[in-house]
Amino acid sequence: MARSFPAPVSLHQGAADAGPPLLEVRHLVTEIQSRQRRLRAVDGVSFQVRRGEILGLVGESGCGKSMTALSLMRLLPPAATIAQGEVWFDGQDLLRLSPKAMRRIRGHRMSMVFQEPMTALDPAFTIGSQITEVIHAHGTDSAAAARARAAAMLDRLGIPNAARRLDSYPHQFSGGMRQRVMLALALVMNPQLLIADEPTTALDVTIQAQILDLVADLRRELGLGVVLITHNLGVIHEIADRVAVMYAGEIVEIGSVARIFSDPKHPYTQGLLRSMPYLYERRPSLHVIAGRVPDLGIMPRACRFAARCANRIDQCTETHPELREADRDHELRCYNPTPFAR
Amino acid sequence: MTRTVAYRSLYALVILLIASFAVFYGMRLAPGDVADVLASHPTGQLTAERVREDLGLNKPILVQYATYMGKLLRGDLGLSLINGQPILTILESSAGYTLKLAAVAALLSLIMSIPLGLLGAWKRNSSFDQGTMLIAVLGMGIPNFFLAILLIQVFAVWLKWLPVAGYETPQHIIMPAIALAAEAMAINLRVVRSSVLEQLGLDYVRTLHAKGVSDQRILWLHVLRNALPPIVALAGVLMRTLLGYTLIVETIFRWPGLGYQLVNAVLKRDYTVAQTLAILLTAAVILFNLLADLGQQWADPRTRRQAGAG
Ligand SMILES: Nc1ncnc2c1ncn2[C@@H]1O[C@H](COP(=O)(O)OP(=O)(O)O)[C@@H](O)[C@H]1O
Ligand code: SF4
Ligand SMILES: [Mg+2]
Repeated sequence: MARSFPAPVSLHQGAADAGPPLLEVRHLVTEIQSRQRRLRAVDGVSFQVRRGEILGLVGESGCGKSMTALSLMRLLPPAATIAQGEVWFDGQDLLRLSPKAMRRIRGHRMSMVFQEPMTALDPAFTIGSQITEVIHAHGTDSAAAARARAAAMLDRLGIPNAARRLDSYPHQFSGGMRQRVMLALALVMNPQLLIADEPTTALDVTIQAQILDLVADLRRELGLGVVLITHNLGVIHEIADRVAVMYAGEIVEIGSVARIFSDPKHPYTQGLLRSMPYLYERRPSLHVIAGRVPDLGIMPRACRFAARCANRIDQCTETHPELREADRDHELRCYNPTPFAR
Repeated sequence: MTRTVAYRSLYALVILLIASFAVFYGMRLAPGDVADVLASHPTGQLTAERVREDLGLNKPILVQYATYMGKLLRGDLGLSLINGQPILTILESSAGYTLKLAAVAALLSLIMSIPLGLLGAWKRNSSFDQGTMLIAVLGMGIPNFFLAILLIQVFAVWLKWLPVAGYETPQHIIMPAIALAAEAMAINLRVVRSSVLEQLGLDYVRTLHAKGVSDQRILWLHVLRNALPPIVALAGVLMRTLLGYTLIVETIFRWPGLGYQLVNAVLKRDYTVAQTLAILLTAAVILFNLLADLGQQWADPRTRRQAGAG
């Protein structure tokens, strides 16, 4: 399949400012308690997000993307705990905050939207009350002011008749509309950081594009930092500035979108790119990386991708590769990278 | 929704007809002919034949039933077979007591079970949760008559805190209400807990946390609201059992409600009183089921149609 990717629109670059990072994750380790063992779903993940920057987090299902996102928000399911690491956000380590202090940050300065818009809203309450609830949780607006704010937010997110739709219930909205409502909940307090965990995966293609455009616009408008999780490289290529490729709980390659799409170095990244020949369409992939992500319980000690890798050399099954600088703003976890050939 | 109401009401009516006929027919099967009882009563000056004639007992049973129900619907409840007292008078003096007892017991069971179940689910597997589950097991395992006797023994006989039986003071209702509420409380507790547990695992709860909403608000407003439908559905069933248990509990505590009167009537072989009270109790039970059914529909926003928007 000979097809090259168009260079990303340059507008993406430079959207981020040069100050200290908005979010800095350092060596995050998140474990899941299974019957007898503690399994590492996230194993030493580090990355940064700047103001106004969109970082794409990509990888096959089960790579630990959601666990990473939920760790940042401290919203992990009961079985999972953060074992190590630091999450610096706006000058403080979120992992050291009291539950109460963390609650004041969620939905206020840092928000999250989830993959399943159909089940993410409370079915028993109106859209309006679910949005104003965020405003009342973090501010002192009067009921009328909060309602006006909620309506303005819905309007900004492209919901027609926003003021009237405030009194609708979630089941009266389509999936795309509900995801807009989720974005409204997340953004109504004007946060600095948005974590979006596969926000468009459950939606059909046209709606998907609309929602992504919205995120891109809002990022520019609000100077929002975004962690955008997806298993779709097309989405990353379209709107992200930087991309982190995750495999089996680790980041295996991270760098600017321009660099990683033009010169992917990790065999896994290369495989993902080959499996997505049509960046803007959702066709069945022509090329799938053979094999699957190893089980958390039987994680190889050396390179986790070795069993599926065509570049494997002896060292790959002996020691664990570290993430090293390969280029300017381009880090790589691989002993034997080769140039990308489609 | 209107169609549902009509359909469920019709269904309840059919059940009521069948049940009332069963009671009516059952009374006829009771040992000792009504007329014999009456004729043999010391105060009675009537012959069995006369009584049969008067009561229409010679006619086919369906005709008797229709006549009886017709009168009942017109508000003519008939007279006591034993002392000629209008059954309406008996009903008026006793229904209030039963309603009061049942209402207090129902309230007690809800006030206990909802917070305990909710907090138990929230702090799942904590010692608090285990404690409430132990209460639930005890509440369901101990028969209410036994609990009644136990309460009397402890609080009336030993501690002398409460009167043994009767109805004269506000304290009199405490023990019968507890005895009546215990099982309902226990069942409710389990249903609340499991319903809440189910809700806590749902995505919208995670969204609420992501919004920065307080735990208290998530639990007492959102989760409780969504956990309600099965609780409301069960409340109807519980009211039904509760009414059934009034027979036992009222009798033990000599609480002069419908159940007490019914048991007395049966013991005295006052068939007209027994029959009418039994049918009215059955009707009340069916009515509660209907209300619970409709309440559950209403409590579930997905079955409630929103006019206008949409
Ligand atoms: N609630 C959970 N209990 C146990 N294991 C889980 C749970 N959620 C996720 N996992 C495991 O954690 C790993 C990472 O999952 P996840 O972060 O959801 O992956 P992704 O979002 O990349 O698809 C997977 O191996 C998955 O099986
Ligand atoms: S370290 Fe070795 S096995 Fe792992 S990805 Fe690189 S070449 Fe393949
Ligand atoms: Mg996921």
